[in-house]
Amino acid sequence: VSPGKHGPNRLRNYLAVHSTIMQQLLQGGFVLSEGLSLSSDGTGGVIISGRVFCRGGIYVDVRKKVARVAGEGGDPVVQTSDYSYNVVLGGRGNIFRYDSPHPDHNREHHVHRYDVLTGDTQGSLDFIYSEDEIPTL
Amino acid sequence: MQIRLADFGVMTESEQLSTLDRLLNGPQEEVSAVDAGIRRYELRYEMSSDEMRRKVAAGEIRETAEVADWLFLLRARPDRVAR
Repeated sequence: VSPGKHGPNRLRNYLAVHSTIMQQLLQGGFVLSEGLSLSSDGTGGVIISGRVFCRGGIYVDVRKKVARVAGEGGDPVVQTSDYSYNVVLGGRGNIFRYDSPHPDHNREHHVHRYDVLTGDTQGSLDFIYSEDEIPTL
Repeated sequence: MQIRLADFGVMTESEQLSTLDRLLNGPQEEVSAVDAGIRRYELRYEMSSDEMRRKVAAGEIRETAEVADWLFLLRARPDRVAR
């Protein structure tokens, strides 16, 4: 269990922080609407999934597993364990995607970047070694 | 059971706690939704999840957004340690 902004937190507090940041983004005008939902992961944690619509035809497809690390009931201590945030320019293609480590390849946090305006579908891959560079959505 | 985060954000503290308790400790139908998502990808790509992972690791297929989503669902499965 790591400390810092990606460290463990109470689930309700975790969701409150998410809500506050999303409200700030909505008020800032770049995020137009969010359609994220919460479901159980079957082991006491949750899965957050859905789409966030942004200006300029951009949207973000979100998949995040927030695993229970301690506690019981409705407000356990949780921590993000897996995620995939795919940022898309609608009608054109992917812009970039942040993924948590995969078990068989790309075993570090990583980001795929695409030159979407030139039709790039191969993209480039960069690994992330600094916790500060791991996204917090 | 699914909860829209926008709806959750405007609940009172007691409503949030009871909603989370029902979500986490109630019937776990969302687990089967994860399995259903995995099954959809297996049918669409006409290969098992094991085959997909093997091919991605071998560089035979690219880690596209859909493949990344497929991998996420495999990791999100409660029994993923045994897989």
